[in-house]
Amino acid sequence: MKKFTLVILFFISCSAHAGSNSVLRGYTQINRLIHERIAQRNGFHVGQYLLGQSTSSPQNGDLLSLLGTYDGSDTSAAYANGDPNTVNMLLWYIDLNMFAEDIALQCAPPAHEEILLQDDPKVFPLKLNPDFMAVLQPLCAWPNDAAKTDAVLYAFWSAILGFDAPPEEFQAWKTYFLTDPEYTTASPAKLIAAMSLSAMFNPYFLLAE
Amino acid sequence: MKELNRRQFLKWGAVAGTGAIFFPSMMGKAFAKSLIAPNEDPHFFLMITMPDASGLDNSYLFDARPTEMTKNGVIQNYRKTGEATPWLGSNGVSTLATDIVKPLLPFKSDFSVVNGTLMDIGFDGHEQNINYLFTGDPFGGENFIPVLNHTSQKPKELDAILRGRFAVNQKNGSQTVPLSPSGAKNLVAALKRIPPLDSQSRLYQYLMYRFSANAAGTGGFSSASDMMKNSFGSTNHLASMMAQINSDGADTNEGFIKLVGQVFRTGAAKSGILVLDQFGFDTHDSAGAAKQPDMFAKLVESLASVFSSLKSLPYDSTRSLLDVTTVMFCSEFSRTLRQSSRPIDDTGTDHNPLNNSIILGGKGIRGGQVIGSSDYAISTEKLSPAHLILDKNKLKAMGRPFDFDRGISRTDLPAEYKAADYLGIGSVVNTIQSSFGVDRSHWRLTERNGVIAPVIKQLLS
Repeated sequence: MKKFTLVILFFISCSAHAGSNSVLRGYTQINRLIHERIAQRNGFHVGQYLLGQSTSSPQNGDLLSLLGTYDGSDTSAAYANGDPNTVNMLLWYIDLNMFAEDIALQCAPPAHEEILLQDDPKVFPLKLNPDFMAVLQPLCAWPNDAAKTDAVLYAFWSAILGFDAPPEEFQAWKTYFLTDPEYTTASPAKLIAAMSLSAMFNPYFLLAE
Repeated sequence: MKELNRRQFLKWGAVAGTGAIFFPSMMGKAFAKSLIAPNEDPHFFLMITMPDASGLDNSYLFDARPTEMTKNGVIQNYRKTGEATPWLGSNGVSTLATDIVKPLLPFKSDFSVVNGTLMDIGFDGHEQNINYLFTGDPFGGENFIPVLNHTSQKPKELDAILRGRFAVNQKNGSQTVPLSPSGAKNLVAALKRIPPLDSQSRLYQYLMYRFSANAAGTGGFSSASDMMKNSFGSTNHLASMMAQINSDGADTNEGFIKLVGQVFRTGAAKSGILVLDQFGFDTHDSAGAAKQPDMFAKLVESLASVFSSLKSLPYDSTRSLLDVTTVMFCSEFSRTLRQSSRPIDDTGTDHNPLNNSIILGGKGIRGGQVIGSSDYAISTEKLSPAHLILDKNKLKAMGRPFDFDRGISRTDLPAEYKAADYLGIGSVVNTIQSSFGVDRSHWRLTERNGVIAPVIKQLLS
C-alpha cells in the first residue's frame, strides 16, 4: 500500500513538473547567490555592469526587471519576465560576461584601475569572498598541470553552482576546458573568464527548478 | 592609442559616443544596410490600451447620446458643452460624437470607429474582459498580438515591445518585452560595453551545446532550457538591431512611438503595446464621474499625439510609420448609462461588456468609416427582448445585431441573444489577423464552441 502511494505521488509530481516551465531566477535571487558564493557585498551588486550603477533589486521598468521580477503588490503581485527570451538572455550575457572578466582579473588585480572605480560612487570594485578567492587562486596557475586537477576544477565549479547541477554538467564543463585547444594553453585571465561565464550561464544557475 | 579596458569603460561609459569604438563590427553593419528583407512587405501592429482597471465610458467619445436622454433620466452626462454632433463616416453611417474628440478630426480619414462591439457578456469584471479582449478567453490563453508575428513572413526576434503594465493572462507572452525609452537607452549603452557575440566562437558553441543537452528532456526545466537555447541563438541579431536605436527623449507616449518606429525599422519586433498611464476612468461614484469630461479631453489629446507621431515619423523615404502599422485603441469594455436607484445628476457608472467602441486604423484598414452601433440611442427606443434578458433594468447600451455581408447594423429586435447575430470583439481581432495573414487555426470563435467569428470585410483596405 505504501509503495502504491509513493508511485502515485511520483506520477503526480512528474505531471505537475511537466505542466509548467521553469523560469529565470531573476536579478534579485542571482545577485543574492553571487553574494553568497562569489562576491563580497561592500556596495557591489552584479547589475552594475548593466546599469553603470550598483543596485540590489530592480526598479520599476528598468533593465534589471527584464531579468525576472515580481510585478505588482499585495495579492496582485505576479512574477514577470521570467520566461527566457532574446532580451533577457542578451542582458544576462552582457552582465555575466563583464562580471566573469572582472573575476578573471582577480588573479592580479590592477590597483590603479580600482582607484578609478572608487572615484565613482555609483559602481564598486569587485572583492571576492575569501572562500571563493581560495578556489580561484589555484586556477591562476593555468595552464600548469597543477591547475588542471579534478579537485581544483570541481572546487571552482561547485563554488559557483553549489549542488544545483547534476554531475554530468560538471563533467561536460571540465572536459571542454581540458580538451579544447583554445583553452588548454590559454592565459589564466582568458580561461577563468570563460570558465566563470560558462558556469554562470548554465541553466542550472540561471533557472529556478 | 591605448585601448580602454572594461573596468575603465564602466567609469567612462557615460561619455557620449565613446561606446562606438567597442562595437565596431555591429555598428558598421547596422548602419550599412537595413536589416529588413528587401522584398518583405512591412506590416506592424500598435495596440494602445488603458491600465488594467479602466473601462472607458465611450459616450464621451464616439458613442454619445442626445441630451434629451439625460433630461429624461436615462444617461448621466457631466459634459457642459451642449449636444453631441454627428460624426459621419465615409461609408454613410454616422454616430454621435462629443466635442471632446475634436483633436482627432485631422486624422478622421486615418481610422474607423467600430461601435457596438460586444465583449464577454458572461462576466463584467475588468480582469475577465481584459483577458477576453486579448485572448478570447475570460481566464486567459493565447494573446492575438504575439500571433501576428508568426505568419508566413519570417518572425521578428521579439513579438512585441511594451510600455506600461499589461495585466493579461497570456500563455504566449515570453517574447513580449517591456521596454521603456529609458530601458532601451540603458540596453544600447550596455551593448556598447562588450564586443559582439561571436556565434562562431567555441565558447558560444559550448554554451549552446549545454542549452541543447538540457533541452532534450520533457519537463519544465527542459522547456525553459529550450527557450534559453532559442533565445540565446537570436541575441546576436537582436543586439545588432538594438545597436541602431537612439532612445534619446523623454519617457512619454511620443517617446515610446519614436522608439517603436526605430524598433520596427530595424526589424527587432512586430508589435508595440502602449498602455497609457492615465488612470481614474473606472469611476463608480458621481464625484469621479463628474471628472470624466476633463479626463477624456486629456485622453483624446494623448491619442491625437500618437496619431500625429505615427503620421509624421518616417518609416522609410516614401512611407510614414502609420502607413506600415495597423493601430488599435480600446479598453476592456464600456460603461453603464447610469447606476440603479441614483438621481441622474448624481450618479456614477458601472461596467458594461454588452458594448464597446474601438478605434482601428493604419495599414490594412479602410479609414474614415463608422462600423456598427449600439442601441438605446434615444430615450424612447424600444429595446430588443435579447437586450432586456441581458439587462433587465435598462442600465446599459448594447451592440445592435450586425449584418456582416453589408457591414451595417441590423434594425430587427432579436427575441434572444445569439452570438453570431452580433459584432463581437472576436470579429475585430479576426479582421486584424486576416490583414496580417494569420492562419485560421488561431482565429477567434463567436463564443465557446461557436463558429469562427466573421471578418468585417468592409474594414479591410
